[in-house]
Amino acid sequence: MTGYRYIVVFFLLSMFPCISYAQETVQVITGTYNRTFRYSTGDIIKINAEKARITITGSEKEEIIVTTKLISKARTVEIAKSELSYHQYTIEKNKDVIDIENRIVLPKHVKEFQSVLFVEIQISIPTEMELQVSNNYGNTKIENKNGKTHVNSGFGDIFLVNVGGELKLKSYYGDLKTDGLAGHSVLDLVLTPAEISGASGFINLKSSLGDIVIDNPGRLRALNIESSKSDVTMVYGREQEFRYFLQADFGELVIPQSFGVAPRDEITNRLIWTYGDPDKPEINIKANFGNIILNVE
Amino acid sequence: MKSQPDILRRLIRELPEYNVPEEVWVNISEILDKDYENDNLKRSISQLKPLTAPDQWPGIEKELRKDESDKVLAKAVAELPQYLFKKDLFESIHQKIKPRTAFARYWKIAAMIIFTVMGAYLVWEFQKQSIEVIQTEELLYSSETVLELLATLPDEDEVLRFIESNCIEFVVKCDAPIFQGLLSHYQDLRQAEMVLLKEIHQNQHTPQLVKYLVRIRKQRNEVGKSMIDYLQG
Repeated sequence: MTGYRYIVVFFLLSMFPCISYAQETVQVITGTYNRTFRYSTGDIIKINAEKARITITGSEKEEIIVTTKLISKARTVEIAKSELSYHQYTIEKNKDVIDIENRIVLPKHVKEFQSVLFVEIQISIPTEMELQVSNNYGNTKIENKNGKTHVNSGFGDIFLVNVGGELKLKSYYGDLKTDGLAGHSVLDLVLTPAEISGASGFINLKSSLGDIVIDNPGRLRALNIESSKSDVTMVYGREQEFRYFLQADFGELVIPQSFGVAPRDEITNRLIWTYGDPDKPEINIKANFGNIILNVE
Repeated sequence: MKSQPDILRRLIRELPEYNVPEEVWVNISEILDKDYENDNLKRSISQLKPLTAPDQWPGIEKELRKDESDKVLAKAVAELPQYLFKKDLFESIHQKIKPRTAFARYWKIAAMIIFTVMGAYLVWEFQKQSIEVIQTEELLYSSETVLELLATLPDEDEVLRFIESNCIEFVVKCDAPIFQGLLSHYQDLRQAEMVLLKEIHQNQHTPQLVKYLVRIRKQRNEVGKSMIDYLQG
C-alpha cells in the first residue's frame, strides 16, 4: 500500500495552483463624491454594488452621509482616466428610499479592461435605519447597527461589529467575521467560513462547505446551526452554561471529558449528545459530513 | 333819451284801470251757454272735419336733429354711465332656477383643501430634498506599486480519475455512504471551484477570488485525501 501514498502525494501536489506575483507601478485616479441626506423615521437605504469596499457605520446623527470613491488603476494616467468612466454610479432618493448603485460596464467597442476598477463606499447612517446591501466581488463592513439589516454578498468578505436588531445575511463565497452580534440573526452561508465572536441573542445559521467557529459567546439565548460538509467549533468559558443538542452525521463529535462521551450509532454513523438543564439557553447543532467540537476554556 | 317802446309801456301802465261789474261776466256766461244749446251750433260742430297730423313729421324730425339742442342731448345720452352685468348675477339666477347638489355646493372648498394639502406636501418634500447637499466632487491622481497576479491553474482532476479507476476494484467501499458523502463533498468543491475559475476569468485583478481559490483547493485536497485514505484502509 506504500505505493498508494506516493501516488497520493503526487496527485495532491499537482492539484495546487502555480501562483506567483510580479511587481508593477500603476497610476491611480480616484473620483470622490460626497452626498448628505436628512433622515426621517422610516427611511430605507438600499445599496446595490459590485467590486465595492463598503463600510457602513451606525451613528446617532439624524442624517445619511455617503462618500464614494471611484478608483481606476492603470499603467498610464490616460488609460486610468479614460476607464474611470466605465464606472456607472448613481445615488438618489425616491420618497423614503435612498438608492445607491454602482456598476462597472465595459463599452461595446472595447474588448477588455486595461485598468483595475473598484469602488470604496463609506456610509454613515442612523443606527436604527433599515439597511439593505448587496455586494459582489467586494468586502462589506457594518458597524454599530440596530434595526433591520439585510446583507447579500457574493465573492466578498463580511465584517460585522456590534450589529443587533434583525439581521438577515446571505453569503456565497467569502469570509464572515462578526464581533458582538446581538438580536435576531439569520445567517445563510455557502462556501463562507465564519468566525462569530461575542455573540448574544438568537442565532440561526446554515452553512455549507464553510467551517464555523463560535468564539466566546455572550448572552446567547439560542443558537441553532445546521452545517453540511463543514466543521463547527465552539469555544467558551467554563462559567457559561448551556443546554446542548449536538448531532454529527459522518463526522466526529468532540466534547470535554468532564461532559462524558457521545455514543455513536454504528448503523447510521450518527453521533448524538444531549446535556444540560432545560432552563439554560439551548445550543442546537447538526452537522452532516463535518465535525462538532466543544472547547471549554 | 328813452325809446318809444319804453314810453309806450310806461303810458300803458299809467292808463286808468276799469273794474268790470260781476254781473257782466254772469251775463256773458249765460249768453254763451245759450249759444251752445242752439242746434245750429251743434250741427256746425258735428260737421267739423277731424284734424290730422300733417305729413311733415319726417321733415320736422330732420329739422329737430339739426337742432343744436338735439346734439347736446345726444352727447349727454352718450355720456350716461353704462351698467355692466356681473357674472355672479347670472350664476345666482342659474342657481335659483336649478337646485344644487352637495358636490356643486362644496367642490370649491374641497378643491381648496386638496390644493392646500398638496401644496403643503410638495413644500415638505422640497424641504426634504433641499437638505441634500452635494458637497464635493474631485479627481485625485496618485501612483502605487501593486503585485500583479500571474496564475496558471491545472484543470485536470487526477483524484477523480484515480477514484474512477479504483472503484472498479473496490466496489463495496465506493458504495459505502461515507465514501459517497465524501465524493459528493469533493464534487461540490470541484463545482464551486469551476464557478470561481469562471469568475476569476471575468473579473481579473481581484485578489480575494484567488484567495478563495487557494482555500477551496486546499479543502478539495483534504477531502480527496480522505477518500483515498478510505479506499486504502
